[in-house]
Amino acid sequence: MSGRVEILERRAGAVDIIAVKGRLDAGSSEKAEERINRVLDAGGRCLLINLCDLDYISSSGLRVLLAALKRLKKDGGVLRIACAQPQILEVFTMAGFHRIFSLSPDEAAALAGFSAGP
Amino acid sequence: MAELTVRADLGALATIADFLAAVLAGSADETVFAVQLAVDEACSNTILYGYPGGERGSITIACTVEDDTIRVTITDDGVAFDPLTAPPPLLDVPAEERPIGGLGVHFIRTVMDSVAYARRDDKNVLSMEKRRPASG
Repeated sequence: MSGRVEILERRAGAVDIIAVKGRLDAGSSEKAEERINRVLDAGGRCLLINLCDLDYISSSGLRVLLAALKRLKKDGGVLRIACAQPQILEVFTMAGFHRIFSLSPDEAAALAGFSAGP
Repeated sequence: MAELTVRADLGALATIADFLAAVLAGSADETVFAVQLAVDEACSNTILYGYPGGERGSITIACTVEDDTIRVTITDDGVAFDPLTAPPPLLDVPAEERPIGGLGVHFIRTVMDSVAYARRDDKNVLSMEKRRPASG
């Protein structure tokens, strides 16, 4: 059992959308990191991570999101996070990550943010 | 008191979360989430760094729910390590410059009301308490 996480990818125009569902813990974060890196390796520069159905995140999960943010910033890309539930947001806040990530209430708002620029 | 012993393997983290959800059923959602986070971070550290020789030990989680307090004790047979000696994370530096280490321990300290470490009988013993709000 490598953690209970489900990762779905799709595209909306130039934006790669990755939905992470379930638990993002030390057991499942490697899988999420691989999937995100695959999208970035393919040239993705506008990444929307949808956390609507994420039930749990630990510091291991945050580490994966931070690595993606660092990589995109270096390459002139943009990362937006959509729809994190209150308890997930609380973990972001505890880490101070609410100040360094672009957090949108839902996917539509995050997508609109891409067309408005970084 | 409820007790769970698991092999020190990352796959056990979801099992530990399920155990805590069952034991803490009836507590407020935020309380359950907080205890799950603290225990998950502590156990993740043990699994990732506690067995550098590659051998896999075991972790025991004991949980007691009282009217006003939840007590959790995590015991493992990994190398001696006091997580409370980890330096606090730099929360105000830019993302690009921030080291990620120490965040898990910061979460434990933040969500629990007390945390104490002891080394007993060649085992690490991390004892934590979380007060329960009157409403649950």
